[in-house]
Amino acid sequence: MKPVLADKYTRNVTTVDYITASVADRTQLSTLVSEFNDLLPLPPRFCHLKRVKSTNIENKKKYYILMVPFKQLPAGVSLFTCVKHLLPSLPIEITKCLGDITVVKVPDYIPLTSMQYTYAKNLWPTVYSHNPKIEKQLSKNPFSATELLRMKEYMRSALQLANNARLNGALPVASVIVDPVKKQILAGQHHSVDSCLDHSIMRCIQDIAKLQKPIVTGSKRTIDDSDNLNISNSSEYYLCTGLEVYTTQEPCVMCSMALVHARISKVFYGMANIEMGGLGSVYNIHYQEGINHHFDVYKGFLEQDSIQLFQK
Amino acid sequence: MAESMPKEHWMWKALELAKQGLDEGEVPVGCVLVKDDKILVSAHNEVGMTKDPTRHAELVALDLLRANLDKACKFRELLSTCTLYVTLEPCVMCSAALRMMGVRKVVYGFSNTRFGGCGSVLDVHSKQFQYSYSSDEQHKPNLTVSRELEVVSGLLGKEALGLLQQFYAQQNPNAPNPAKRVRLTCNELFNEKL
Repeated sequence: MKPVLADKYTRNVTTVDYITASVADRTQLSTLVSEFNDLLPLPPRFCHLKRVKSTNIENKKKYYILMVPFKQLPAGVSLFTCVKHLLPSLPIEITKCLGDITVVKVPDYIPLTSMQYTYAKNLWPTVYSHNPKIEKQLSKNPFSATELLRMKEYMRSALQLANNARLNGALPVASVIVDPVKKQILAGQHHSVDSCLDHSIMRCIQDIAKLQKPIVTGSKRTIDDSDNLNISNSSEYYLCTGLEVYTTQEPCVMCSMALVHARISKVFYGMANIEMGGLGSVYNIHYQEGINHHFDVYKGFLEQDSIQLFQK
Repeated sequence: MAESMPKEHWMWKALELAKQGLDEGEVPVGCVLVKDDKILVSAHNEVGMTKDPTRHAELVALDLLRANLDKACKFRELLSTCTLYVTLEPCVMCSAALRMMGVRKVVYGFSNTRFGGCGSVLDVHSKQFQYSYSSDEQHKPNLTVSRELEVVSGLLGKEALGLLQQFYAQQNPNAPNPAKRVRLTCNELFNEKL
């Protein structure tokens, strides 16, 4: 089982070249930093970088300060010439504090996970804010042994329903919707035999709707009497808020978006749906920019069992 | 041919449905499915009444039509010659449903910048899906998804927006604790200049 996360959380740290200078006199550092911030401000896309890096080799502290991003040098131009062009813009008191000029590799983006941060900070000090939710999803065991046992039970219920679907001549795909607090399966359906739109998830969402009693009572709402509405929520559920889906196959684009509309909180699926899957294969609707509800997705849960149903 | 030209009077029909939905406390979106200058089925959004977030006008219409036909394969055949007139751009869910069922063409009023699947948020209408649904007789190898959904936008969009503004000017009565919700103007919701 693996989380389906945006590329920005799973990618390797890429680097970009930056021109730096070593600083011999430590006492000059703070002056240098404020002068540099005025004269050579970090471009907005490098704002995650700290200005100064310190190293400690054999008890000798050494400091390096970022100057400017290093771009491809025109043919025949040396780094020395390049820096020479740069230095006249700096006051003389500044330039004389600077030691060796070198090009170093710095992290291209702000690290978003501890893994990226571990790698990035070895290159150059950078800003990082810990995201416990993502860390949990990325960790080796995001769920406890007891939780996992229960989750497998849910998925096995879905697999059982999928097998029923196969026996009934429908596609062997099924889903269950679970209330994780009550530890209870609220709905379970397989793909229908005859209508191509009656996918298991659509049917489950419709079953959850049936659990909810009408919440607007009295006369039908019109434009003018909205203040006199008699509203009472007689059901403990609002759509699928707080609920989880266990499904044998990655939901198609239609079902994925239906889960957005239903405000689902987590989705676990077995095999991928390469042709039409909306949660990792064709689209990533669960973290699509512009869509107002996001949810956690894990793929490959009891994957072999879900694939085997198609091979029977 | 005249048949392929979007016709305003069908959209006025769809707007009528949307208005009817508004009067019933629904998000005002309506649609009509047209074949050969005849309405096959019409519907409006029923999410509020049913508490079912899948009951968008498009899906209500497809399900209604489906219930009145006896064979699934006939259904697709029929839809491949139909045009859907809908007041708001179909969301990602509905766009995918229209693609999967092989509806030929959709004509919509106002763009749906929050959920739209015909270009606004995702390009479900034109996406190249490698679809090969074929497990039994009723799901024959399905070539319909490989065909793009033809889209015409902006027909009576202002009128469609007008209805939505009327709805969002008030609270959504179907949301829990409606009093606590922040009121968004329709412009904020749809991020669109009037």
